[in-house]
Formats: sequence, C-alpha cells, structure tokens
Amino acid sequence: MTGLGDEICTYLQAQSIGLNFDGAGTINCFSSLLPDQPDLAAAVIERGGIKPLTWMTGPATHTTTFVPPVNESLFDRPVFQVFVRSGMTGYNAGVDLSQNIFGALQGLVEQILNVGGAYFHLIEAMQSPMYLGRDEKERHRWSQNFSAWFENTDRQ
Amino acid sequence: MADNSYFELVTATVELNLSDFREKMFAADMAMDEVASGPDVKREGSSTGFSDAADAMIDSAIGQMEDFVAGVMMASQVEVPKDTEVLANSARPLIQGAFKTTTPEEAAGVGVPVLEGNRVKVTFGYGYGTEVNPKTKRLAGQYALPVHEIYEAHHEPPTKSHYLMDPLIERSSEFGTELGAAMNAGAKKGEALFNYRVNRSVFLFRKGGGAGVNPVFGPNGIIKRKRG
Repeated sequence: MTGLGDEICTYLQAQSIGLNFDGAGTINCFSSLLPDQPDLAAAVIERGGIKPLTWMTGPATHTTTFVPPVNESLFDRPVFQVFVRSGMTGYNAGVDLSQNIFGALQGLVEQILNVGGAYFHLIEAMQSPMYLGRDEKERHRWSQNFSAWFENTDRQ
Repeated sequence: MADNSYFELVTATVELNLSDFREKMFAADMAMDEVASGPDVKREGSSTGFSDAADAMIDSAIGQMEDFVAGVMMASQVEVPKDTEVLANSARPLIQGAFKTTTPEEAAGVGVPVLEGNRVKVTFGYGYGTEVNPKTKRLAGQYALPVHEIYEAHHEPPTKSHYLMDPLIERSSEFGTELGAAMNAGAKKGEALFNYRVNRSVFLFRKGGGAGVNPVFGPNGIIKRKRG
C-alpha cells in the first residue's frame, strides 16, 4: 500500500468518473494539496481519525485459519476528506463529480479496492457533499468526509 | 446589514437509541401489578420499580452525554480559528475555559441532551448567534462551514480547519465505554430504587397474607410464584 490517499485516488480513477490520478493526459486527482490547475479537480486528504483497533486485528492476508496478529495496530480507522473544485462556469460539472465520488465510495464493504492494495472493511460517508462557495478565482468548491476501516499494511 | 443569502451551521449530533427499553420496563411494572393484584393482597399504589430504574439509567446517560459534549466543545474552542472571536463565540454550548455561557439556543434544546421519543439526542456545533464579524460583516453561520472544510487556508496554530470534527472523532472512541460506565452507575442507583420498591411491596403483600397466589420476590427482584 502506498498511503490511503493514493489508494483512494487509484480506486476513483478506475471508476471512470472523470478523474485521472496516474494515467495518460491531464492529472486531476491528487492525494494531497490541490494545485491551482486544472480547475475541475479533486483532492483526497487524510485527516487522522479514531485510534486503531488493538483487538479484532489479524494479519494483512485473510485466511480461514487463525494466525496470531503480526501487528496489533493494523486495523486502522482514519477519516479522509475529498475536496472537489470546478471552474467558474462549471458548477454542474462539480456537482456531478462530487456526487459520483460519493456514489463510488459510500458503503464499500469488505473488499480490496486495488490490485495488491489494502483490505477495506468499510468506507462510510460522514455526510453528503457540502457546497462551500467560491474561491478567490470564483471557482466552486465542495467537500465530503469519509471514515474508513482498513488493514494498514504500511505498519508492518 | 449582514447578507443572509448563505447560511449553514457546522453541527454534530450524538444519539442514544433506547429502542423499547422504557416500554419494556413499564410493561414489567404492569406485570408486577397484575401478579400482585387480588382480593387477598393489601397494597398501596402501583409498581414503579422497573420504570424508576430505567429512568435512573437514562438520567445517567443524559449526564454522560452532556459531559462528552462539554469535553468536545472545550477542546474545539482551542482549535477553532479566532481571527475575530465571532466564530468561537458562535459555539453551542458555549464553553470557553472553565466558563459556560447560557445562550438563548439552549431553550430550544441546542447543545443540551434531550429525550425525544425513544432517543436521547444532543446537537452541538458552530454558526449560532447574531454576532456580526466586524471584518467581513457576516454572521458566523455564513462562514462556519467553509472555514471548517477548506483545509488549505492558513490558520495560526493551534487553530485549524476541521475544528469540530477532529475533537469529536478523537473523543468518540472512548464515548461508548464512558456511556456504558455511566449507565451502569445509573443501573446501580436504579437497583437501589428497585429494591426499595420491591421490599416495600413485599412488606405490603405479607401484611395482606391469605390464600391465593402470592408473589415472592427472590434475589435481584426475580418474581417467583408460590401457592398460598
């Protein structure tokens, strides 16, 4: 795993909702700060969260037989924010992108999002996308927050 | 005059779902009344032991929720951006340091745990009040949400964006344990009330005596039926 932000961006790119994280063409999905361009873009930011579970924690690979936990803090429960921006005349495009991101992430349960990636027990929205008004360049902005329960193999 | 065209509060709600707990306890009191009724039983009033115990537990839960919200809001007051203090002052409940300010919104149940149907619910957050920001001429409710969500804006540490969500999430993992402990303490108090009621009832039953079905209360208030 390369970090939660990268994991989510890679997954969003694969959903064909108009986000490009590491493919050919203009990159418009970022796992940290949102650069000034392009106007229509999204950023995934890790925001801390609840302390990891020290019980119910197993090894990173799922098996049907019990294997003693390798690291008791694997079961991570962070919060991440998805920030969307659209151009001055692109309000509808921003709404669509926000809603598509919400639809792609809300309610994901018990799956590996990306090949070779982390195992996610749950991704749950903390609220619907919120419109935040315009920035100094009159571009529209939205925000939504999610909590994720996943096995953080980076800690091994 | 402030422009009220855009207004959105930043709030969180904590709910405790009691399901049919109170109804079941009330039904238990009714059942006790039924068991204890009859011509041979001399008794005063009706049973309230189970309901009193339930109320004691709910009171404890409400108290714990109030403490939890106070803890979140005290921590949040450290993190909320304070360019002009208007946003910080828009908190409900308004707890700054050791001081709690009584606000008009409390009368409407904002920041105070209230029992609504079968749920204990408390809503708290920012954007309340009518104070106008002297710099932007806007009400706190007109910028509380963007300040909460725009992560790129610079705020002087320790103030920051997510000034409500982060303190809430940091404390939420302990809340269940604390709530359980509080309700357990309430149950102890309820048990004392319950025992008082039951002992009083037993005394009255024994005073009545006679033939028929006499309820006998075993340990922990378990009702046993005994042929007289």
